[in-house]
Amino acid sequence: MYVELHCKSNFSFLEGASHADELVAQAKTLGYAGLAITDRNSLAGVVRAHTAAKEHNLPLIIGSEITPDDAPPIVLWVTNRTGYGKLSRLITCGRRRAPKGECQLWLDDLAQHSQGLIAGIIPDSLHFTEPSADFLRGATKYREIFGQRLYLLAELQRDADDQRRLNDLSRLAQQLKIPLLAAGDVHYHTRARMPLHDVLTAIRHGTTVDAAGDLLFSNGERHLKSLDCLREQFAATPDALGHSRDILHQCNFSLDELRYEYPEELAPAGLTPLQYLTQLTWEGASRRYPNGIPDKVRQLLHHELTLIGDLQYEAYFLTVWDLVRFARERGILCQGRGSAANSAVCFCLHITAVDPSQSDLLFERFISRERNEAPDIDVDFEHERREEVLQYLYQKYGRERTGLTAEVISYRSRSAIRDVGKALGLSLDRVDALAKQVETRSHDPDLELRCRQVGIDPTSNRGSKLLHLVSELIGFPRHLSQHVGGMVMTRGPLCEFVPIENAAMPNRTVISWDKNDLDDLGILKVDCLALGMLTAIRKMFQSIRQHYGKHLTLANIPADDSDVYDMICRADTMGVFQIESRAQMSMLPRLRPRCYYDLVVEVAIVRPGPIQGQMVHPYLRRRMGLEPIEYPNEEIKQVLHKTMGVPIFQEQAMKLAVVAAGFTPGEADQLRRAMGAWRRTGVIDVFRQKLLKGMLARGLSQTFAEQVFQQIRGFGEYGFPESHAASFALLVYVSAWLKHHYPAAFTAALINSQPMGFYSPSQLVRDVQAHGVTVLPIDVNYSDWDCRLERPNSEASDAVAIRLGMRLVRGLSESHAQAVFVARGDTPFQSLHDFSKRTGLTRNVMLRLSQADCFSSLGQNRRNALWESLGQERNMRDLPLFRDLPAEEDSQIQLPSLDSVEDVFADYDSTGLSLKAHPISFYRKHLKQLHILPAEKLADCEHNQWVKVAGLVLLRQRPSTAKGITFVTLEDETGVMNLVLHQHTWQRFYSIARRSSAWIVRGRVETKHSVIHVLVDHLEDLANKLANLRRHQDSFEVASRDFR
Amino acid sequence: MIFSEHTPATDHHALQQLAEWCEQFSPVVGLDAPDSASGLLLDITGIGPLFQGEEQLAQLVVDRFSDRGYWAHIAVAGTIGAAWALAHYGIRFDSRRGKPAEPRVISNTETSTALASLPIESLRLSASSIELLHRLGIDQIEQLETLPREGLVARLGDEITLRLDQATGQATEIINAHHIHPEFQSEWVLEHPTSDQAFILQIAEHVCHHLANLLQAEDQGAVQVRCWMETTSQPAKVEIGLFRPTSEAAHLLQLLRMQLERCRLPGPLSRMCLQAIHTARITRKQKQLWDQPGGDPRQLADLVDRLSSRLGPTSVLAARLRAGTLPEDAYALIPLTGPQNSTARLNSAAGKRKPLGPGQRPLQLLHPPQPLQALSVSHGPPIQFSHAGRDYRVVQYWGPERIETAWWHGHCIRRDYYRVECQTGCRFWLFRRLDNHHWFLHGRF
Repeated sequence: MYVELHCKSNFSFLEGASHADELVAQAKTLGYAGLAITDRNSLAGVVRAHTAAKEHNLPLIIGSEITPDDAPPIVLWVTNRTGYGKLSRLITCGRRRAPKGECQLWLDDLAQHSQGLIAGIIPDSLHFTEPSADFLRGATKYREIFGQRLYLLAELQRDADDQRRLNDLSRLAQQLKIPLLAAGDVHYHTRARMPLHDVLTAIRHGTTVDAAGDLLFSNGERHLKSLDCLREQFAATPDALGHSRDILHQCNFSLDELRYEYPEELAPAGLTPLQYLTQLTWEGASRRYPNGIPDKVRQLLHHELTLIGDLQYEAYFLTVWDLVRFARERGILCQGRGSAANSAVCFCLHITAVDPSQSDLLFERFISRERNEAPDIDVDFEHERREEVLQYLYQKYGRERTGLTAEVISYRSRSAIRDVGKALGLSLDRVDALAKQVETRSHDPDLELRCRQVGIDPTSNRGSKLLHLVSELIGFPRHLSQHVGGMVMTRGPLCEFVPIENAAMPNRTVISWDKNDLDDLGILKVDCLALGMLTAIRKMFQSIRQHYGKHLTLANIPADDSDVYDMICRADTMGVFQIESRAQMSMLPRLRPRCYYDLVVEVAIVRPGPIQGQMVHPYLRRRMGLEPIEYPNEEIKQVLHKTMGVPIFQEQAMKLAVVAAGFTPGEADQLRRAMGAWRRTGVIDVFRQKLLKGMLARGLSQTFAEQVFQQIRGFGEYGFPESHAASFALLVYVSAWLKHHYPAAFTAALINSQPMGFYSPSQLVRDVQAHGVTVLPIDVNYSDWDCRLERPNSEASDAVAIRLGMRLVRGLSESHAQAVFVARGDTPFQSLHDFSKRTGLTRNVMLRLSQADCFSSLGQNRRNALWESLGQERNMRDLPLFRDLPAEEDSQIQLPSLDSVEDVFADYDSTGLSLKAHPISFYRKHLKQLHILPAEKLADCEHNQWVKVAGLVLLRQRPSTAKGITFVTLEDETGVMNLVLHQHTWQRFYSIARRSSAWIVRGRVETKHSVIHVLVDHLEDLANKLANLRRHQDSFEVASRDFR
Repeated sequence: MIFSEHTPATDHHALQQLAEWCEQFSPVVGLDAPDSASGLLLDITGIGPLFQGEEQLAQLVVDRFSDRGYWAHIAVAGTIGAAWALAHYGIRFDSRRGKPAEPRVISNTETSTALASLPIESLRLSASSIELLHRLGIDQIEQLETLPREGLVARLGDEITLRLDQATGQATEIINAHHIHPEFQSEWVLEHPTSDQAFILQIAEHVCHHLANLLQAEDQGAVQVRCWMETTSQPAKVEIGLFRPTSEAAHLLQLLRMQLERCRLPGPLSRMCLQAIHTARITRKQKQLWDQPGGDPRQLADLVDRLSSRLGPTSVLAARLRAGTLPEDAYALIPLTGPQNSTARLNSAAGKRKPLGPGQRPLQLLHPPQPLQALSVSHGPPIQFSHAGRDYRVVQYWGPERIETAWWHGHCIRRDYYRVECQTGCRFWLFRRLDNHHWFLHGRF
């Protein structure tokens, strides 16, 4: 029996050409007694191997190939927990020293981290017959370090003179007194992967396979070989094969031993974490319910606390509680979400603001005892202040014990096509064209078709190789990046737990496992995510407190305000969290949400998952009573009754697999992941068969079964869990409530939190003006950096206006703006000269301010201000002689007057918006002659009526779910218009559609449930039509946002 | 419609050639900017009358350009600035006629009126100045002239006023004449074209000596030489690539002669021009006191040159090792002479190859591998085989060495190679194709 001890998975990036599970499965099939995964200077792939090995019941050895700078490369195998800690520490040490993705180690490091490890020296192929002096020196050193735990690897790859090499090696082994050990230097599981490996090698060296020459291995022998073949190759030295078994017997370590240990400092002295958690929960409960804790909640709390105690999750809840407590103390707005977050305990700990006494729909899916799944709480923080929270964690637990989760960046269609195409030597523009054609995120089933479209024959030699290699490469990990916010904290040093490496960002480190790896090992992490809307809401609360004297929090906003729901039903939701997108807005009038749970559904339903699974329309029909609600059986009804028989949430899809197809919960979860992370067709097919069989066996129809499969498939990648939707829905309601009651504060805060959301300041301003709020221009005498609220005539009215802030001035830095405020103090500037003298700003900054028309309170229009600014000497104040000189008496020159069109264009150019007029309004007369309707008239049009409209392009959006349809929003001075462009229209007017910033559109009006679309038939470049627009069209480039 | 990539260097080069060609109209021709030229400047002071007036001259230039396949925007004015402004912004493309409007000729008195309505871009200003002026609402030259000069200079520097003055003639500007000549060139023009071979060779000798002198003066040696021969009918040319840079007239002449002997001129020769297109610095070596083993390397180089010249550059080749596993591709043959391959190439490190042990590859490789009949145990080594009518018995073998490669060219090449020693003591290199198990002989040791 044989154990392969030198084997790389594809986590040796661009070296290994097989997934860990493929290697494990193949080793099992070949009858190996075990397998070691030894990625180069890395442990990133071992968890996947571990999971696969457990599944296939194959003993797995954890190890790594280490390449010190001053000694021959060596393979290390872990014998016990100590050895694992040492190896992990060793890799950490080498990786932290080197730039991201690299590793730098020396012999001395190995000497310090040799405990519990067995080593095998890899002899260089050049060393045969006469080993070099360097090699001998290295080997002697290794002998000193590892003593009896050292072997010399003999790896035969059917090169010229294998047998002679084996003789040489065994002589060398005797000379060094190190036993000879057979190994395979495996890079892939079967010979069939040789081409892929050649391609990876070419990619790694930035060349083509044709030019790679000797960089490639000369044959495909680096696969897992059959035992017969090995016996034949090592016939002369049978001991070498036998030694592999000895090593297996010594390596008793399994990743299961990595018991996760929570940090100790969670509970104060004298209390167990559970006691402390119980205490905090009841204290919190009495705060939440000052008039007495409702019975229902009391029961829930008892139940949940028992469950938490039984499953030993108390430390996790305490960790999250501590984070939230810290954030609250700092005034950082945050909210938890996730399955465990929707518990009464979390509400009482102030982790969430969704009151369990208000609704009983949500909390049935708390952590279940049977599934024993790790609790999942994500915490969203204000995006501008999340860093403070992360820093707090680093500080509290120390950098030694805190790490950021990795995100494995894998090959997708596009990147795979680029790299494989280049390696095969296809012309770059062809490869580029193809890469642009395919869908970005996933495997494109129409790859063949796409090839034909760009002129690559998929049946030709190159074409078929390209397709085959691309499909093999998709899903291969490419590099490690940092996860958006998954933090791991441990009791002992983290680097003995998992290697830590440098992230791309300076001073950031990341562990080498991603969240699935951590899940597999049952290691808990806290996701600290950044959410722009929380920043905006905090700013809204702040200005409301300041200007209206009201103290609002996420928890005390009055619920069920029917005026707010009316506004939502009108789709008057620009700027509201989540439901402001074009797709959401067109759904709102149809779905007509009237309560909190309706919002939960709304958030989850307009998502690629439900859309791809074709669940939106059935749900709408049933909600409108157009379709009966039916359930195939009672169990399914239990799962789906909340959502009218249509699965909308990820949890429902998973549960369906359980009740309808007899999956175990664990299998359902595997299914979800198989759909998501790796996208390997083979794996999905296995699940599909199982799912369909299971459902047919339970008497469900084939059609229903296929439908459920499609639904689950859609959810795998883009589904939204109910537990997350519930927390998001609260923010939806809160932001809608604020928009309705405090539109000025709402808009000002949104602009101050940019970039976020779908809309630019220009649209937000237009929207708030339409709601009757006055917006005042930027001015050096009145504006702050941020937009703020202002009461224009304090006696006259109660109305609050928005004063735009200097943050909108393009190219102006905050420090320059600060200089203005400091110089201004309480004394307004008198003249431009005064301004220049007091602020001491450079001419360049003055130019930006005058260009943005910020000097109007000084009686200067844009052009005069510009002329004057140009004349201001740079450091006038620094020259003592000139300090008190009066302003230069400049003969009043006559600059050409600025007409309003140019003024508006200059506004757009310098601040991205104009309060004076809409650019299109200047051309209305002309447009009218062309029979072009203003946006407001669309409402009067009949369904199917042909119209012409024109406007600025605000955003282009092409959801991957929409079969090539592009949604475009156009704006004129009277409002916005929603356009729909089919693929063929888009193609026909490609360059206008893609590049022009203002369009004239001919098309058909579609009116459904008070949602108006224009189905575009013909496009024309408005800028082209109106010469003057053309000169200024650059001004709009930034205003329009494109989403994919 | 044909699209091709814009290469500024090529444009610039073409413009330089046009400049030279324009010397027929004016003794002083220049590019309008040293590096990124967009037009040509011709000084025609006093030349107008030779062409019956400046209008006629302008029209002639347009016509001659049109003959060459170019549209020309031509303007004649008293200053470079005004002429540039008019040519770039004062002559519209006449889409009705499908070509630019007629040339414009303005006298000094008309300059300021002609400029007034032109955009400020016509003043050859920097992009930043243009942008600022637009922002101030200044779009045309006449608007610019209303601004106070001092204020303008104080605010925007003196660039604008200088350009304005250059256009109106208040500041002087001169044309930098442009000339291009190949650095090393020697020509001979015949008043009476000749077909006399002996005479032509004399001319060749003359130009060779002249060129050699030019090269020697600069310590340069020719690596690639081109000989242009204009005849009364079509022109002809011959090119000579050299193995080693040379400036010896005799050597050049010898090579040129060999070429001329084989070249049939289409008609009597009217002009011969010898150009060194590629040159390299000549390194002088002190003469060795003793003869070097293997002879003087210069003699070898001369031999290579003579052979290449006589047999053609593709007949005199050097073998070079190549990386890669496929034995057939282990080396490449490359010409020894020519510009990119100077002597250095012989000495250049051979392609990086994995070192092979002694005796692992045969001395002689067969092209293509020869199929043979062999007897073997299933996947094992050959036991017996016959080749060229003889039977061989294998007494010893080494291998197999497996080679799998070249899948990207189509079919993957997969072979197991064996080195075998036969009863006769001969050693062969055999392989078995792994796909169909056929045996081939690929080399002899």
